[in-house]
Amino acid sequence: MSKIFEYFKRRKEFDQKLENNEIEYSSFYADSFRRLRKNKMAMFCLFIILFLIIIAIFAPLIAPYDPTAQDYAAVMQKPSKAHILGTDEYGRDILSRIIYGSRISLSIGIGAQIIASIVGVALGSIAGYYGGKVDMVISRIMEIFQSFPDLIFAMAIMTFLGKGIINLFIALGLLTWVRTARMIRGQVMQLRETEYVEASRVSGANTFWIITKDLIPNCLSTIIVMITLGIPNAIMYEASLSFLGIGIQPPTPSWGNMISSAQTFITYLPLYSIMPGLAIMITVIAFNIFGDGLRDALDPKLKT
Amino acid sequence: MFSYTLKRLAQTIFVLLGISIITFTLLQVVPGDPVAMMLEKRADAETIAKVKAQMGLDQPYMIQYLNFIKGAVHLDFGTSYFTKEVVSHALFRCFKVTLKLACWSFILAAIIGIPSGIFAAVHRGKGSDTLVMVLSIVGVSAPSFWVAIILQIFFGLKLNWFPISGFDSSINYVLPAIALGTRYAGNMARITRTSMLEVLNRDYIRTARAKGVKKNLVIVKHALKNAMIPIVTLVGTDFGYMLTGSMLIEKVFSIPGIGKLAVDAMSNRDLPLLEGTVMYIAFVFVIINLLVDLSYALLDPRIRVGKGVS
Amino acid sequence: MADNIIEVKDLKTYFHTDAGLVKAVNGVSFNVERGKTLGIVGESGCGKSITSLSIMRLIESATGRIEGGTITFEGEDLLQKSEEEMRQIRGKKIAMIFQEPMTSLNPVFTIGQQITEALLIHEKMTKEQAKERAIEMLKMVRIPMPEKRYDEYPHQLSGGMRQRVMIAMALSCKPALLICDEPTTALDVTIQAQILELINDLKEKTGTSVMMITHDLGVIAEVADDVMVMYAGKVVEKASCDEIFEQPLHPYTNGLLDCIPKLDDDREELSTIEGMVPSFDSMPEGCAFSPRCPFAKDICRNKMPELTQHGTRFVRCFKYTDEWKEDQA
Repeated sequence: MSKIFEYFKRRKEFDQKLENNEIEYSSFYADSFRRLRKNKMAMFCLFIILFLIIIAIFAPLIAPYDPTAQDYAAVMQKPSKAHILGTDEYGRDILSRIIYGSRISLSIGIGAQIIASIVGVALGSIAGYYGGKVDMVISRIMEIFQSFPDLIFAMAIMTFLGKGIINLFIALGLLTWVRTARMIRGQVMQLRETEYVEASRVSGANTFWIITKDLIPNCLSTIIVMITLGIPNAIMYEASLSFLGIGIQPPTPSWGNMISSAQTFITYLPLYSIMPGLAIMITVIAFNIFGDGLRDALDPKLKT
Repeated sequence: MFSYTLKRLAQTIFVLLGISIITFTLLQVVPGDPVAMMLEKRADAETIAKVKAQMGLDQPYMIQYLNFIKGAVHLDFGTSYFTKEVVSHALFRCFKVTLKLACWSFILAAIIGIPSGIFAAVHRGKGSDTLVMVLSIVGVSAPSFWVAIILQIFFGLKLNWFPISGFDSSINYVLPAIALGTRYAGNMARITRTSMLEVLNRDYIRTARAKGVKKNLVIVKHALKNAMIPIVTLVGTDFGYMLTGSMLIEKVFSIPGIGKLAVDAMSNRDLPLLEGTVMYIAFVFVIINLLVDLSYALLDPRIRVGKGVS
Repeated sequence: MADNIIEVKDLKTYFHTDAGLVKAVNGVSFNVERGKTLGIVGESGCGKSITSLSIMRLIESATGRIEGGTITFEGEDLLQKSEEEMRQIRGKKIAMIFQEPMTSLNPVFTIGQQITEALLIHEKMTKEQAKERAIEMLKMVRIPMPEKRYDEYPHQLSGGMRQRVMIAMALSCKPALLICDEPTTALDVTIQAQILELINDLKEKTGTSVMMITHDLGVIAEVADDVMVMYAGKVVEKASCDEIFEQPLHPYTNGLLDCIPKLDDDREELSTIEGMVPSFDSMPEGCAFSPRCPFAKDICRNKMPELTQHGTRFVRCFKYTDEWKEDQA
């Protein structure tokens, strides 16, 4: 515990020294982190994100009820002391389902983006590094993937793979990898002509080495930003697909499929449809603003 | 300009072919025999095989694909398994509805979004700029189907101003258009603001003011015309998204558009209908992107007129 | 009593930035005589561009403000005028051309549209008359095939031609004063000479007065009648062109002239002025040039010298004051 205090104290001193021009050198990430910390809105959103992650991880401890426990005696109840947000058509507690729903949204959002990034970085760097025919083939594939309207493509993939959470991961990953691939391809194309890549090549490094040790670490900030900004997109897609009945199936609680079920009851229990949507919106806004702040911190030149 | 058009056309055809291959492969090779599903009674293997042969589903991949392409070019996807309606008829019928919805949504989004973006750019850094940006982030982050339901609850049920389902008369389109439109209005505002800010920084804006052009005229004439070029392209693709992503709103308001058609076809495993809708929607999307790219070339004299003789 | 087309007295333009107060133009005074060219020379950041933008009242930045001084043009103070009144002066009575001809013209309008725009705003003309005048102007700036160029877009012209178009545009309403902010810096040397010659020619023909802003003494030698040297937001020397080149008074001017390599000089190294222009937040107490001045004494470092007159010339340097001889340090 005291170590944490010491760390914070040292960090404050370090910042002070930098401000007073006593020290000039600071690493790239330390600089970026400082810029990020100055952006109050982004830091606020970071806390919201961490808060959501904690809720997701500790859902069993936080949620008052089992999200799938049906109670026919307490069907479609308005908010009460026992059920803060009321119950749904099977008597399940809505609040608990929303809390557990965060698990679905966050894991799918983050997981799908990681898959998309792995595929995107791999294909993008290969296309950017080799150029020529390899680049042409990969670029054509990227074009075809990008020319498919999003939801329709996801629907087609889910039809092919069948329903299920793993398949949803794959579908969303396939949907979003192209953006990352494009950015990485561009960056690799710029970087491959730099002198220190030349130096690596001259000292006998093979291609795999060059790509993984030289090129990709330099794209790291881009990758981080793309993942962070891609998560809210993935969460939206999951919610939309679940809403349509193609994504997460009940009884597993997903914010999307809750809104779908709630449709029938909007006259009687409007809260049922409003709250999950609010959860989606807050999550998406938080990730978007934090992602923007992260991008500005890592590369201020991109700022508008 | 001409060579640019040709290049884009060739690319479009290539992309459409690629899409058809993917669509066909994904949907024709569906696990869970559609024929068995279709024949409700527990049919024996023989009947299934007979029906399959009838439908041509037992032929090798390439032959099936070629048949598919042949049909697709004529917009003939066969007949729906379930409703027995000719697929192309269903496509046209539903597409008309979606087109109407998308147009209204687009007009609404443009009327709200673009002027807001210009306003935010001109008043950069001030409170009104922040307000516009905050609103557009909210607009983009709120799930469209959720906004649709909230509109239904307040304006449809509580206030009873608008109907919440059906599609016969224009008034049915108001709430859905608002739901779909506001989501994209936010995006349009952001794009407009960014594009305007970039243009307002340019030297030729300073030249115009040094000539004595009125400030407002500089914004509307000199700046906007340049800013419009990227705005039109990005906003055009938004129209493509509205046309092809309408299924969420259509489900909420029970509008029989092409999105809903696709979703129903998918739940019913209605192969011909599903293939037809997916190909059709993808086709529309690709064509709109093509038109948007070509309009970019038309609007920018540097591409339209080319280098010329110096 | 000289006939001055414009008289600037004690102009101050400051920028209130997050990082501090930047006194970009800090008490600048000068006159431009009718029909003559005033050259304003100085390094980047000395405030010469801001001075010209201040005259046009085109300080766009949110943080910039004209804090004081008077600009007398045609008997009236420009700083007291309303925005609408200024707008009528811009392009019509005072015109300006800029450094980058590549980006100073609007890419989506034709050359003709851009030239006639100024005419249609300021003069009562029909579209046909404006077109005629525009083509006349294009001829005057020696652009071949002006009728064809009229309908072309800026990207179809070379840099030199674009700058000619800018000049045509600026002179189309026959302004009394033409401000040129580094018009040749972005052009090739040969084109540079052509443009300067053109400006000189047009000045004779139309009687327009010219303010030529540049960092290049070669340009000054070509076109300027009178010269004003600026450093760190202040005027440090004012003299006629001949006087400056024959006998520069201020050490900075001296340094600038020394930097130009001479053909008949048998030197091994190029001479430079030691040091750099001080940034706004580390301005020295006294004379801004003192850290770099080979003659600097204590008094220079502690007190800001005034602009003093010597015959027809002005210089801001303690070397030419009585206090100099007293200070032995």
